[in-house]
Amino acid sequence: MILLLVLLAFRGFSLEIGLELGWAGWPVLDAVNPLWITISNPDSAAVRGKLLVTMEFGSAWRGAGTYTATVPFVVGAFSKTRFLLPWPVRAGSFLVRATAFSGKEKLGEGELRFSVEPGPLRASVGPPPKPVDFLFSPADLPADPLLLSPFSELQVSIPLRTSEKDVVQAWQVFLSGEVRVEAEVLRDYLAGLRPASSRWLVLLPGLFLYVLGLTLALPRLAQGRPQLPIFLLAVFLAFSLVYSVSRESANTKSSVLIRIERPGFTSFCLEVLGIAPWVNEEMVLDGWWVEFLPGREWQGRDLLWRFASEAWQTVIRLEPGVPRLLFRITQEAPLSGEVILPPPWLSRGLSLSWSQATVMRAGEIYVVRLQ
Amino acid sequence: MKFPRLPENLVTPYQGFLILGTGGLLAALLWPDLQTRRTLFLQILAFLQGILAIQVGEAEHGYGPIQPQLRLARLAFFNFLALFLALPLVFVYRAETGAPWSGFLLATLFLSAHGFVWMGVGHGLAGLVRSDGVRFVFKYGGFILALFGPLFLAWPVSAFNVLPALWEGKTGGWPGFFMYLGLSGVSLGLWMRPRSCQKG
Repeated sequence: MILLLVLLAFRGFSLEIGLELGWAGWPVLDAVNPLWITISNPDSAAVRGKLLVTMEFGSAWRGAGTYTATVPFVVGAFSKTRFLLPWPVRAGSFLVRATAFSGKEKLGEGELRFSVEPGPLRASVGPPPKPVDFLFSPADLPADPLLLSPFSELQVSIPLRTSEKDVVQAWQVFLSGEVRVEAEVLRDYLAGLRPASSRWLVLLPGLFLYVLGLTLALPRLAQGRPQLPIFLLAVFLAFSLVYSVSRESANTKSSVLIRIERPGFTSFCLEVLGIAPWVNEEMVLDGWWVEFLPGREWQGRDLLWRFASEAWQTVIRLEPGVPRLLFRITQEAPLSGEVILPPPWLSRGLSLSWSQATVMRAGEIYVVRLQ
Repeated sequence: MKFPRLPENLVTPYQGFLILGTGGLLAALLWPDLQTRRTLFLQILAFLQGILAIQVGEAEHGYGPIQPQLRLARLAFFNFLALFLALPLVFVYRAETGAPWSGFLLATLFLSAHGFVWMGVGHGLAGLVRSDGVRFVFKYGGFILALFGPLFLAWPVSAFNVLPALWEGKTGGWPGFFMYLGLSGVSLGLWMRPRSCQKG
């Protein structure tokens, strides 16, 4: 009986979870690194569940945040399943943990302690002409160019298929320095945006009348004649309450989406999304988005990536007054719109060869087309 | 319903509170930095309300001996008068900052407690310190210290950080909120003591 209890208390999990972060196990700081998670099922029955991946980052000085990803899985009897997640590594992060659940029951847990590479890596596809940190075979090239962000050099010495070439060229345009996003400039621009401007035509006369009326009426309170000040106060309270309620429906956030594309060279485009929230709310974006973090004030800059309806979604908890700037690399059909001169905030917010770029406005999207 | 008569020497402080509060609202709404824009008016309001409350408490001390219940009714009226004068501005600010109604309610509750506390300080110091100069230093120095001291020590009990935190629905505002609620209870309790009838 005691043996049975001991066995129950120390019963192992039914799944084994292994994690590997970074190319060749070298996660690079402030880059989107590959995170491979392998779930092994040593049992004779298939297991269905949900995998929860978490990593804390930051510090008491910078503020701390958490990255979380959830993905459903099915792993057959005596078999393995593997996931690849584009995982941003930040200062202060040293542990990534993956836990498998079926409902509330924990099926397995794995964790990886890591130290980060402060600088980017060099890689080669095919035999390298000079020493590199990582050697790719064409089959190893990821489908998402974002996973190549840990590299500052990527030499190609063998012929590639069109899709592989497309990924390398996306890295070349968006991640190797040809286009650079000046996050601080864009954040400053976002900080000045408001979802709906104040109704000054109502507000200014109203406030003027309020101050004038009450300033003149207040001495009556000292004369024992409080009727007028109290009447005026009641009227202005009612008006301001109506004003406050009428503004409930105003937009709760401003956002700007910038798409940088180079059709004919790569089918990928870089999307930068800036959000200036005005109320506390949760926002769900399609796709896997990563944030450009500021130097500090990381508190609450959590991101949740979840796999739902056969696609990834990014869930952001928006806080009023805290602009968020996110990016992703995606494949979208080229957009066309009205050609405009680049607004000053855009030309300062993106470092690129502006003489070879055209800016178009397609609805709410600014499209920067590189030649 | 009979409202207490506002002492003549308090008319100007109330007018000043109203004018400066409205100016503070406009300054906050026009402030270029988004985060400052969301909190500046609340900080200005807490500052102005604290100064006004100290003046009301002090003036009330000179009103003479009255029943404790009557004293309480008068101080409550003067406190809520300041709050109601600011309320239209707070309604507008709520609309312009998109703050939740729960934040609005907590902020007004905090302001009423804050007013009672500093009225108590003004009233108490008027009885304890005879010298005008020393009293001036104590009341306004103490108020400034209570506002800025916790900011330097990173304690969440200054009206400057409690009020914005309550406004945004953050838990960081709770310690200061409960502290001021407790202190306002102490302040009200002291006014209800019968000896304040004799001392005036």
